[in-house]
Amino acid sequence: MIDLEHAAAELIAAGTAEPDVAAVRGRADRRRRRRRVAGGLAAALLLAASGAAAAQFAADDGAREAVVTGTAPDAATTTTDPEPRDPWAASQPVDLGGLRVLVPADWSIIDAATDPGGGCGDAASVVLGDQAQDVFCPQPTALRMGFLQEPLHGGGEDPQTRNGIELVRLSEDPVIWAAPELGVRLTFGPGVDTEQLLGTIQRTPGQPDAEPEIGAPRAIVLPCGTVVVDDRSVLLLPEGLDVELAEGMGGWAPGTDLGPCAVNLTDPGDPARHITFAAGPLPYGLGEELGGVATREAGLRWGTIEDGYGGEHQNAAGDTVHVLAYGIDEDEAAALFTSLATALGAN
Amino acid sequence: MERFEDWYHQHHPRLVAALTALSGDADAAADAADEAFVRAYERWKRVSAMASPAGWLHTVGANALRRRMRRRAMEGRLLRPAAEATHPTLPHPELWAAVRALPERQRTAVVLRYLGDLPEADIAEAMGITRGTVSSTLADARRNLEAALAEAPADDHEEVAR
Repeated sequence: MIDLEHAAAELIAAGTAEPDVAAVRGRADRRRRRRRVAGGLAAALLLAASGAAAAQFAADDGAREAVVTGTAPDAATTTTDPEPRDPWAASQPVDLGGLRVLVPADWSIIDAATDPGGGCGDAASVVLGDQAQDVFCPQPTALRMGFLQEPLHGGGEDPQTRNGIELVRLSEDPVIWAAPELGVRLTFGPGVDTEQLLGTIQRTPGQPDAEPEIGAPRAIVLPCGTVVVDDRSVLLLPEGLDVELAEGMGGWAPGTDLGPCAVNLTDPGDPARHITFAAGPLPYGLGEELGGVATREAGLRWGTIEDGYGGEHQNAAGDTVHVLAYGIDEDEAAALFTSLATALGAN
Repeated sequence: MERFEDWYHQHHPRLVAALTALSGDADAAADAADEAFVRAYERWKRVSAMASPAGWLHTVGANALRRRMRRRAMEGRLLRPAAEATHPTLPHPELWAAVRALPERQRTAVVLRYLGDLPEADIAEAMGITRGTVSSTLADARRNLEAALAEAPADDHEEVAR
């Protein structure tokens, strides 16, 4: 008879990796900061319930009835308090772009880009992300906030102004509103008190001073010289990637030989975030694995790959440069590959 | 609400061991476990309120591991063929190799039960199957493991057979 329990205990005791909770916290914090700066796939999350913030909203917007009907699918069932709680008694601000909405403090804030369930769940929640408005959930979330895919030019119906922000109703079923000026779109789940939420909208206090930098210009020279990205044609690389780790294993999968014609850039604080440039007479192309092709400028083809972004370019001699990027967001990928296409065109 | 730190220290060794058993690769397992814990930390309020936070953790960890293994396969094709990774010798390698050779459902159930230490109800929740199916799946897995190890050289599995 096999003693699986004994074997499992020995494997656990072997302890092949040291626990490091500080590293986990740091990685999560860095990820959150990056999302805030990029302003692309997620927004700054202000999770602490703030009575002061609620009071400020009330002062800004005047007194309102704190009555919410069917706030969210199970908001009323998540409490065991003998007295029904007013879900608006404690609130938390949620920011996306330059827009802030005040929602009940017990609503979860979910990043659609990283949530394993794609932002779907059965608890009251706010789902944030570019694609938040396009996800179908069997049990709708309370509020989905995403960026507008296309600029609005006043084509919506029933424009209104609250708190100095123009709001446009795009649809009644489902209820969708947008703040065209800020490029933000809000989709409300059924039963949610839309008026209550819209009434809390204001500009995010202390707006970012300037449009955040997507990347910093950097020069890269690939060792084999098939492609040289030099000082005259720089790349826009995501913040935090350390070129000093070039040719090191960095975040590259252990056991993979980078070869002499590759450069690897890794974020020392988040090894899952890395970009590798590989050049030379490589036998393999990304081919069908490259999805969502966005550009073919200067012979560069790039798009999504499993869990990241990839690109490939072939020069006149038939040599190929491959780029694989993981852990970066869509805005960073667009900046990187667009600048790479420009750089390749200049060579 | 349980403190994330306490929960992390309680489950980290088990998750790493479970992912190591699934992949045979201690490095990939450690990376995938880190990713799962980062995700748990990011949404701790919600995860800690789940019926089985450990079940969620193991599911997210296994998904992260699968992505990593697929990514490695692609990287290996793009660049030079990957050198055979060297890993520290793990206890009972033949047994865990036999576990990896099980059908996916049996493999997952074994790992969640013995390495994740999850009760059958939580395994059922994590795998989306009934509790009765968990029991029968584990019984099938044990039978298959005994058969597989019986075919292996005796000195490979003597230590784990009683």
